[in-house]
Amino acid sequence: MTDFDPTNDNDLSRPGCEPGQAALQRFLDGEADWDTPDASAHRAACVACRDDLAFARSIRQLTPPPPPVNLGPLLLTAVVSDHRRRRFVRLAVAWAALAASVVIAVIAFRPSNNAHNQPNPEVVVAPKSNKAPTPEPPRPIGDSVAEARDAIVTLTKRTASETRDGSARLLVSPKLPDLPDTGDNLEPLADAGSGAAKSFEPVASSARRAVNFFLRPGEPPARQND
Amino acid sequence: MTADDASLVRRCLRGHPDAMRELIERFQAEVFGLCVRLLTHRQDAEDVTQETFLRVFRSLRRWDSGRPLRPWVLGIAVNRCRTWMAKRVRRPELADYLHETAARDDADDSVELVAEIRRALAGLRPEYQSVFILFHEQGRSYEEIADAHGRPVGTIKTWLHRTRLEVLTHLRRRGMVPALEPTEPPAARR
Repeated sequence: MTDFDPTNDNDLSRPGCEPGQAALQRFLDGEADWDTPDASAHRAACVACRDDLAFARSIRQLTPPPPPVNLGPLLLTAVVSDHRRRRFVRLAVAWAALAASVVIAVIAFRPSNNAHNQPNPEVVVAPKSNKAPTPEPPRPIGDSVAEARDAIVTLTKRTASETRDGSARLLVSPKLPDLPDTGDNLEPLADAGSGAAKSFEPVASSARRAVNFFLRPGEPPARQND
Repeated sequence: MTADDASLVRRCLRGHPDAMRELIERFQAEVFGLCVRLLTHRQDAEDVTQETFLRVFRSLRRWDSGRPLRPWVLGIAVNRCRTWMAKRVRRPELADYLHETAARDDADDSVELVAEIRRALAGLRPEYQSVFILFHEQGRSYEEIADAHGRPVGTIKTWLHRTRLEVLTHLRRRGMVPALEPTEPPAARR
């Protein structure tokens, strides 16, 4: 920032009052030779600058308020007690850190003889066997073929079911009406044969009667000449 | 001055009560005066003065011994006052007593114009108030005020000039500025 110059402060200065304002600034800054003939002549003709100087003189009457008599002892008591309290806290923290360090050191460097000489009773180690693993006897060729066949069947079934499931996802599943629970469990195919037989029973009986009708031994036609 | 400050601070850091007392006595009047003017309440000023000195002694290790101690202490006081004023703004019930207090303080002033200046200052920004008070009431130099606020000297001069004009505008609005002829120059400032 450049040095302050009140005569160049366009927001605050009055045009034509530059000598008076400069002298006022020097007066407020406490300079001994604050006044000049130009400034004095300007003030003689400018009421505003005379007011400003009167204001500046009133500013010089400002005096700081005296502190209370007991303020010093009060401040000293507060400062000393705060100093002691902070020192106590620092010492307490230091002692706590030292104690923690000692405890950690004791735990870290504690001799631990039992750990190496005695086995842990909770851990049971299985003895190692020195025998080499025996190879499996060769399997008969028939078993291998049967195993391959079962694998092929399993794969085929899985592919068929996956295809069916995929196509089923494309179709809208029908919404069946809720049937009253009669307690009968529907068995899809267990009694399908008997059901179909019952369905075709009327047809079968009709066909049987028709066949019997045609196969029935006919009575001899009546003789016309008789 | 700086060597004296450094010696005093060293003794304070060692915990010597005499050094603590000396530091408090050296700065308590300025800190309290600044707090009273900025906070316009004596009880608040005492509390903030105490806060300021507690902060000063807690932060003494961070003080740069190459710089003077006074602006550093005054800077802490200014910051404490600003924090206190911000708290007061956030809690309006704390500010209710201010009008009453200001009236009581004004009654103590013998010069009505000075009381009006104080009233005008109370409506300004805290940094404007502190700059004005430090310069005109406590006689601190531009450099010390700039150091206390952590701003360049040019900024401090601008703030001070604007504060004067704000106060003067307030006084003119109230019809408080008499047209007096200058008679004698003021005593030179340090």
